[in-house]
Parts: sequence; structure tokens; C-alpha cells
Amino acid sequence: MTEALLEVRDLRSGYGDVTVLWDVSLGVRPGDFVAIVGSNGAGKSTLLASVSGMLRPSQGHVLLDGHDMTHSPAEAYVRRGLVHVPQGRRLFPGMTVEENLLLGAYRRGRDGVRQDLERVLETFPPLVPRLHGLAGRLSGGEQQMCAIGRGLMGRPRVLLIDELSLGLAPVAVDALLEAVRRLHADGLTIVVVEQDVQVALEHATVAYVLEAGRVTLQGSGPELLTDPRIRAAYLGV
Amino acid sequence: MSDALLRLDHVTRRFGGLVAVNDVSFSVDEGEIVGLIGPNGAGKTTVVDLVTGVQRPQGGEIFLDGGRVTALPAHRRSRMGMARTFQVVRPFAHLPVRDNVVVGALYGHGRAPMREARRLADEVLEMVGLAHRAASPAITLTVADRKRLELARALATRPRLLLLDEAMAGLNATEVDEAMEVIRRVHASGVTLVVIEHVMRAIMGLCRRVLVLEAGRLIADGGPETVARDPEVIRAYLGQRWAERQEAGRD
Ligand SMILES: Nc1ncnc2c1ncn2[C@@H]1O[C@H](COP(=O)(O)OP(=O)(O)OP(=O)(O)O)[C@@H](O)[C@H]1O
Ligand SMILES: Nc1ncnc2c1ncn2[C@@H]1O[C@H](COP(=O)(O)OP(=O)(O)OP(=O)(O)O)[C@@H](O)[C@H]1O
Ligand SMILES: [Mg+2]
Ligand SMILES: [Mg+2]
Repeated sequence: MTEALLEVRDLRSGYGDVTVLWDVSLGVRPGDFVAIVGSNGAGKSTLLASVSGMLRPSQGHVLLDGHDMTHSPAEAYVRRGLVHVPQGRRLFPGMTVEENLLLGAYRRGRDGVRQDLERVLETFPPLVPRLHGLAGRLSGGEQQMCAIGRGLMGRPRVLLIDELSLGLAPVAVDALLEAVRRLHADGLTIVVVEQDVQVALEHATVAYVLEAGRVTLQGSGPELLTDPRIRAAYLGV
Repeated sequence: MSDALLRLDHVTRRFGGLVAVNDVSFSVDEGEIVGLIGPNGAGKTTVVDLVTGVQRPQGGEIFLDGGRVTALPAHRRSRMGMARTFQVVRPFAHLPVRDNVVVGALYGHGRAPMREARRLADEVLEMVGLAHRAASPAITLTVADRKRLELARALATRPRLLLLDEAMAGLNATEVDEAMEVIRRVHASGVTLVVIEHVMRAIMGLCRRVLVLEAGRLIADGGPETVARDPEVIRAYLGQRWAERQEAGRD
């Protein structure tokens, strides 16, 4: 078995006195396309925040390339190539779209930045005419595109995306998935949280179902897609 | 002939060189649920802003019940019975859910006194299925419940016309079903609805009529089945994958 790129062991995490994640363990191997599925409030965003240094776990360990990162700041995760696109966009509204995108690349030198910008704009054509406008003026879906685009600009090795398709038109979801699939084929390891379970599982090499802060099911995406429990709970069929 | 509840007549809104809403005309009759869809940046939220008075058009007129409201400020339109939800929800994070709704009740159409506002808040929280969280600070709500709170705040103004801007974004299929139930209940209580949504399941299930905007222009207006088969709409908005799935689903 290949060594895990990202490993989570018996993780407990939450807010103040409230524990949200209970002893969660999971492994992400290089080249995996991981989907995290679960109802609202299951703890998906809390999980991504806890494995990217944004939230301090109260117990357990997070390992990146075998290094224990549990007590490292978010910066250290980024330095090791882990980029997290959080739920709810978090752009700098007073800066232009281009500036927001370029910020994603600030830590990796100038090489290839222009090409990467071109590629992001090919993936998200609606951003092209908005490039010199303020990010705060973007439509909801355009903001999501900008946030994910900024994540891609960091040339991550592992990309965590929270609510991949949030606010995106069906055509835009197709374009984004196509782009993500291309990046995955080129070797990028991907972890997505996605409410459109059909979309998430169709693409996932590995999927985890999170319920009330615990992993209750895991398997390949297509496997889970035919699981009656999944179909009843998340696909409404 | 009686007047439509809402009518837009050649409405245009520009931002610099960009024409976000381009010569758009349509009307909504009392009692309808109309879907408004279109690609990202098509101008849907801008239409809601123009209708509710958050923004003014540079051209065209807007009528409520046959009366011209084009130049009226938002609070006047709110008192005349218009309400909307916001795409990006910003509740008063540390206030309890109930107080968030009371604020809506105090300012809207009804402009209720405090006691009445509290009663109204409880009533709409019940209607959206959030009564059990009334005392919790808004920040502790899940995304699905935050969406319910946003809906409750709008309902507390006792609107006749309610525009929902992506009230179901971020919900899973089961939660979408629940939200559709809530919206049907709101409709049954006598509220006319304009529903903006990228969750097509909801649009197809709720609306008898769907309007499609692309790059500021209205490109389709018809029944959901017809609109979903329109090659223009598939190209601009739904995409090939969605169309293929629909085909597969019909077999
Ligand atoms: N800042 C916070 N303070 C207190 N509680 C929080 C905070 N953020 C989240 N929670 C709570 O933690 C639990 C898990 O939330 P989380 O956001 O991780 O869920 P999720 O699976 O991402 O759901 P969603 O679909 O709503 O995004 C929820 O009960 C939520 O109310
Ligand atoms: N204040 C503004 N200044 C400049 N451009 C703006 C402003 N508000 C909106 N726009 C632009 O107008 C266009 C229409 O935006 P709008 O928010 O109405 O789109 P939308 O159809 O709601 O899209 P989405 O589905 O992504 O929410 C977008 O391209 C947006 O960037
Ligand atoms: Mg979340
Ligand atoms: Mg919008």
C-alpha cells in the first residue's frame, strides 16, 4: 500500500466546549479523488478546517506526508502543498478579481503564474470580463469560481474544496468538474465536500459518509452510489 | 382585465459598460410560482434588486398591482408587500433566531407592534420548521437552517410577493425536498413567488412557468418541460450532461 499523503487518526474537533467530530480516521493516498458526503451539520466543513490547520483538533493527529502537523499553523500546511477552499468564498471584496486570483499564487514564485491564470480563465469564462472589476461586485456564482480559481493558482498537491458546486449553474458545474478531472488526471489529489451526492460519488475513487461527526460508511464512489442507504438518505430515491 | 401583481416593462440596468439587465419585460400574476434561471452572471439577482428597490433601472418601468414603483425606495416597496431573500445570508450572528425574525416583522409590510411582531415571528418560524431552534444564536445554525431563517425573516414582513434568491443552495437532495415542502406551504398561504435556483429539481418540481435569462436578456418563458428541452437553454444553462440525464431518466 502506498503511504498516505494525508492521514487523519482518531480526530476530535469542534468549537469551544462543543465536540463536532468524534474519533474520525481517514487516509488520502496520492492521486485519490475523495468525496466527503453528509447532511447539513454533519461536520464536513469542520473536518476540512481541522485538516488544514484552520481549526485546532482537541484530540488525535493529522499527518501530511507522514509528518505530524496537528499543532502546526495553517501556513505550514500550505507550504507542504495543501490548499483549502473554504465554504462561503472569503474573497477580498475591495480587491480586483485578478488580484484575488494572483494572491493564490503569492508563495510560489512567478514561474508559470500567467499560464495558470490563463488556465483558470479558460475554466471559468465568466471571470474574463470581470478580471479588473472588484471581487465584491461579482455575482454569487462568479465568487465561487474566483475562490476555487484562487485555490488552483497555488498549484496545490492536495486541494480541499468545500461545497464544490455551491451557487453554480449546471453548465458551470460541468466545466468545473471537467477541469478538476483534468487536474486529477495530471496527478492532483483532491478532497471535495459536496451536497450534490450524485455528482460527488460519480467521480470519487474514495468516499466517506459523515453522520453526526462520525464516519459511518466508506467505499469507492460508484460502490456507494448503488448503496441503498445512500440512495435513501441522500439521493431522495 | 385585472393588472398583474408584478410587471417589468423594458427594464435595463447597466454597470459601466456591462448591461446586466437588458430590456427585460415580463409579468407575474397573483398566485403564480415563477422560476427564474440562467447562467452565473445572467442578471437574476440584479432583477431582484431592481424589483425590490435596492437598485434603480436606467430604463424601463416596474409596476406592482398596476401602480408604478420604479422610483420608490426599498422600504416603501416592502410596506406595499414585496419581500426577498438574499443569496448570501447574513443573519445577526449572535442574536437568537427568534429575534432575527422579530426584526423582520418590525420593519415589513405589517409594521407590527412588538407584541404582534413576536407572535408573527413564532408563526413563521413554525411555518418554515425552525420553531425548535428559536432560542439558538443564529451562528450555530447549519446551512439548511440558515436558509430557513432567511425565509422566515422575509415572511415576517407579510409579503404578497416574495422573491427567493437561491434559497436552496448548499442543500442535499433530501433537504431540497423538505425546502420544497416549505415553499409549497408558503405558496398555499397566499404568497406569490419568484424562485431563483440552480437546483433544477426544485424548479421543475415547484414552477408551472420558468423564465430564462442569459447575459441580461430574457431568452425563454414557458412551462418547465418545454424550457428544459429548449436547445438554447441547454446550450446556455443546463449543459449537455443534464440533458443526457433527463433523456436517460425518461426511458
Ligand atoms: N463557528 C461555529 N460555532 C459554533 N458551532 C459551529 C460553528 N460552525 C459550525 N458549528 C456547528 O458544528 C456542527 C457541524 O458544522 P459543519 O459546518 O462542520 O457541518 P457541515 O457538515 O459542513 O454542514 P453544512 O452542510 O451546514 O455546511 C453544526 O452543528 C454547526 O452548528
Ligand atoms: N454593483 C455592480 N457593479 C458591477 N458589476 C456588477 C454589479 N452587480 C452585479 N454586477 C455584474 O452584473 C452581472 C449580473 O450579476 P447578477 O448578480 O445579477 O447575476 P446572477 O444571474 O444573479 O448570477 P449568479 O447565478 O452567479 O448569482 C454579473 O456579471 C455581475 O458581475
Ligand atoms: Mg459545510
Ligand atoms: Mg445571483
